[in-house]
Amino acid sequence: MVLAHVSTIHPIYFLSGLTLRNHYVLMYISYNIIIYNDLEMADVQRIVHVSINLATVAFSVGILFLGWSGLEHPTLLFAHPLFSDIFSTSFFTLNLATVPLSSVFLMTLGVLGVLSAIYGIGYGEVYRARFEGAWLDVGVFLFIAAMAVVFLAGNAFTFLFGWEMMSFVSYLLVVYESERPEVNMAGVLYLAMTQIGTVFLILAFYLLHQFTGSYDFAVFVHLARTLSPVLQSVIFLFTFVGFALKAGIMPLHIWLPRAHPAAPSHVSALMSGIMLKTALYGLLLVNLYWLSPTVWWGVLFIVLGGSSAVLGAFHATQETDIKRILAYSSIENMGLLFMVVGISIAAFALREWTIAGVALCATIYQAMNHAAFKSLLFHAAGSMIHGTHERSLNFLGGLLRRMPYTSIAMAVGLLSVAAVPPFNGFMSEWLVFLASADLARTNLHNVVGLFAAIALFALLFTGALVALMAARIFGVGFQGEGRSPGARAAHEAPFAMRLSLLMGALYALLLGLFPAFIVNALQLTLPEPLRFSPVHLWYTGNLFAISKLPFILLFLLVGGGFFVFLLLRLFIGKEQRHIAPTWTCGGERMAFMSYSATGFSQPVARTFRSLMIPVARGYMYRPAWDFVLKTAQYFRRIQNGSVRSYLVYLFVTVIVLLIVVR
Amino acid sequence: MDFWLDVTAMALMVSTSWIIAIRYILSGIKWLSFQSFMLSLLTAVLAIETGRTDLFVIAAITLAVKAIAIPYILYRTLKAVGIDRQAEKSFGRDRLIIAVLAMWAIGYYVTPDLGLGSGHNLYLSISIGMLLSGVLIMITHNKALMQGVGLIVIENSLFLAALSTSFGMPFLVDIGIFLDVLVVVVLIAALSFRMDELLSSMSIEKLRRLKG
Amino acid sequence: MMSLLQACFIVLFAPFLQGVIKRLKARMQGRTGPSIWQPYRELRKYFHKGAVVSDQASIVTRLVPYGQFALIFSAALTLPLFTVDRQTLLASGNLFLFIYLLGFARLLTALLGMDSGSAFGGMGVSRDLFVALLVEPTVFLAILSAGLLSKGFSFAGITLHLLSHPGQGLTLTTLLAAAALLMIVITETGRLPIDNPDTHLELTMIHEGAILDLSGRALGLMSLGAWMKQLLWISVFFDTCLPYGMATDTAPNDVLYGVIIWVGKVLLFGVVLAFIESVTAKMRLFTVPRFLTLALSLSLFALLSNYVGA
Repeated sequence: MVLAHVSTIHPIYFLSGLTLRNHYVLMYISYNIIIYNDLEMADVQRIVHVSINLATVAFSVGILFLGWSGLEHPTLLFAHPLFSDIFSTSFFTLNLATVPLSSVFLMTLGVLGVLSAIYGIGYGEVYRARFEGAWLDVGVFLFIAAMAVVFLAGNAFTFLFGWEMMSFVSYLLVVYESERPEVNMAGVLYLAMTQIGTVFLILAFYLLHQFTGSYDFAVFVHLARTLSPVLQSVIFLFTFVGFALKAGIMPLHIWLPRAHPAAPSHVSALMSGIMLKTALYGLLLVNLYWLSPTVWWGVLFIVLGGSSAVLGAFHATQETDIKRILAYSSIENMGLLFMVVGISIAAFALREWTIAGVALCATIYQAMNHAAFKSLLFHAAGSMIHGTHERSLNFLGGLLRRMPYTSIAMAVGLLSVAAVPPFNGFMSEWLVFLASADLARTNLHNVVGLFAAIALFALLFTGALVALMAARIFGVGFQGEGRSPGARAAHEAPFAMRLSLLMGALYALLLGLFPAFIVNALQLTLPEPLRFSPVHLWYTGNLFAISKLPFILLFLLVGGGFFVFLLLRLFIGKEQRHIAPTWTCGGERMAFMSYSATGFSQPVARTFRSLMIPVARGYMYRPAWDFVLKTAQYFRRIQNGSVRSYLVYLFVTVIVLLIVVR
Repeated sequence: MDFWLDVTAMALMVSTSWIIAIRYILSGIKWLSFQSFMLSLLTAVLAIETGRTDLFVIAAITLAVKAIAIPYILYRTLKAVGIDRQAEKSFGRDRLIIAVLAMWAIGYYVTPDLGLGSGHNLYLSISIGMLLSGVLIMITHNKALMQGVGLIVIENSLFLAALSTSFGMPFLVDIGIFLDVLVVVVLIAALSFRMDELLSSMSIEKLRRLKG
Repeated sequence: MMSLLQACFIVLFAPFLQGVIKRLKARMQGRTGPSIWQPYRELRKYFHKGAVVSDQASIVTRLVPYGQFALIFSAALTLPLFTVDRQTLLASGNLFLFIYLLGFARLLTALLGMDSGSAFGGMGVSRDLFVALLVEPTVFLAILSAGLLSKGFSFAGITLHLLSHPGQGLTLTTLLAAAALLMIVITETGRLPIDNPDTHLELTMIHEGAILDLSGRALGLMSLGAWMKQLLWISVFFDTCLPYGMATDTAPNDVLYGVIIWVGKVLLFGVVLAFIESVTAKMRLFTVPRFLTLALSLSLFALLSNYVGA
């Protein structure tokens, strides 16, 4: 009863614009509970904290099942006009429905919500001293709910409502640790950028409404293809800018590497794992399900996505703050996703249905995988920070022995992000490879094919950069010897966090082990002409089908290694092992002797110096800022403080209007 | 009766044109008083013609407020800050007269299509010309008191427009407007006095210094 | 089945090739050199000796040598050597699989190098991954551009296509791709202009640095893995550019013929490698990117030649 009371009052205060740290209400309620129930303050806090998180878990499980059922049976959950007594427009209609595409994202959201909420139970302990832990939990709950609204939206109003709610709540979560000055800057930048994006989205929806006469997504599906090509391109551009801003695509990414590290780790996991995917979902919906794309859209996607993949991966190899590395890695992954969407769009425009289908399938699969391993990585990074109080790789080291669970989770996440064979990242990148290579092959002597080949180049280059990044994180952070007192005194995370880490690792592994099942399920989400029979995918005449491939690889890797081990053991005998200090040319061993994170990536920085030019800052944001200032100067001249000149403006306007009207 | 209407309309035009071109502020106030008197006369003529009693009342109030009270307030302010203040203008008399003529022309030019009344309403043209001239007064004159004068001219023109299209606004609205105008003029008078005390000038160009 | 046989053949043959190259190199430089069976003897020695393990080492050091070996063996399963068998174990789209399997092996080696906390390990790993940055896209583009004309992106498909249309082995595309691949093979086998396989001078080494702290069985497995990788890359070169003489079925006679021709080709390639090693000097680490960028641009041109023109 008490808990229900608390959790019902929170969202109201949360939304009413009070800051997260405004906790008087909670204190008042807790005070009353203590008076009446003789409970200790700390106990109350813990109960509130745990129960809100458990509510989030239950809610996420609900979302998961909603997505599960929606995959095969698209359903309309809720449709009701709001404020119909005040406004006569049909705009304000709350419309929640599941379609197969959104179901996949909903399921991912559900899984991530469960993981993050369980993680939050343990992670919130960090903030318990501040007694605002509960606000954080409520924020996470609202964040998940807002994203669910985005995925469930069946019309423009619901979508924009969920979108804005998501942006606002995530802003509040980003500035949660607002006593750090850089966090506030990151928050403001994030809020500003995301609002700019929303403007473009509103414009796009306005255009769609203007020419179809409806706000319903179901109507867009039927009517949007009949619009004129120019109009479609304009709508495409608006949605592209709006969604690319949210997705952190390269020239529009500046908020992402600041905002993601600033948030608490399980919020970062949600933001990176699923919030970026809302942008992808929107883009897929608009460009592949509503409009009929043309080739140059795909080329734009490929070029921007590819460059942002390469640059994001490059920056990920240069940063030392573990969460910033992961944030840049998210940019890289979103770049890859955009690239594949580009392949799909180009193939769609060229009427290569199978390739478009495979590429779209690869996109969704890769999005699921990225959600899985990036949330895992952020959780593991949070656990590292929690255990060592160090954020920089240069001050970590030796965690493999002190934090075994975190290490396992990190290793699984890193191997997945590096896309090595039996892991999930590999399976989806393989689909990417198949689609792009096929597009390159079927369009010989056509520029589009060249772009597909360039996309493959970006894929491979990114892959090599990410491998370097993964080796750097694990090698510097987890192996060798601790480089700081914090790292040497590291302690393993509490139970809830470990549980979440292991569940996340298991989820990532499962996604990689059953690619055929997932691809078959994803068939349901594709638009009708794009569906393909998986026979097209796995070239015929193979001894083993793709469904068995991960198991074969796993068998070869584990079984092969074990076989060699047994062979040596049987024929030669047990190996004699002596433990000795690492050889340091005879000198005394010091932790700082081993390669630091900065030194590790120094050859890369030196060779690819040209990739470090801040193109976005130097050629886009700075000139834009200067332009704004300069125009403001011009407006200052108009605004000169003389009453009579204001009168002149008025006077001239009136006269001109009068004459024009006549 | 039409004769009287024509005469008053002509008087309005002449007075408006003259206010722009005055040399001393005092004469501006006198001409304003004359203009308001002519307006109340016009209202009275209309009231006789239509037989509406509320128009009589309005004519009386116009006479009391605009022709006597407001000029008196302005006159007192002028006295307080020193008599014989020259009106500072941005342009010479000749150019201002030409500008006012242009205003009359514009008023005449745009009237038929405003969709007010049927056919060509001469009084509406005059009122629009007066409106524009009033704004012109406010633009071209530097002294704060003359802004007040310009404002009353604008008010008069609006009154005329209302009168010429629908025999005045509803009675209560008219009363309200009179009250507003009175308050505005009192404020302008008070502010001009303060300005003169602080800046030893009534030129509103000095107000630029307030800009940040 | 055939691919399993081929992979085992690679395991057995790899040390021999290494011995031959060493011997040839010594001869060209006027030395007698070790016996061509020396690598086998080294392996026997490594496998019998005990190991000295760093006190910083973790479970990674114990597992990775076996894992790395298994990965390279799996990669060998995807390649046709002396016979093209459509039924190869891991055939479907195996170009990508091959590169990523080797990439995984490289990643594991990297973790192994960092495990003892020694500065040399970090140095070798950092350089190894740095060189890989340019190698992976280049080799991929080269094979892709050679294989664009064939259906499907497996080595078997490319090889079969070239065998059935021998004329296409002489196009501009194939020649450019072959040049790029040759440069990559030199890089990937740790040969001279890039890395010196004989040195233990810490300032210059790449691959040796990563396995400096190993001994005993681990070192033996890592060395064997490196030699197998060398043979694999040479086979990749032959599969993509010069598959001629390869059997197209599994009839014993054809296979035997294929084996003889393949061994001849590989030994010839060994001669070329030994010659190049004898006449070139090692590059500075930061000139390596120039060498690789040349290879990359060659493969880019190879790719472009598929798209420009008629």
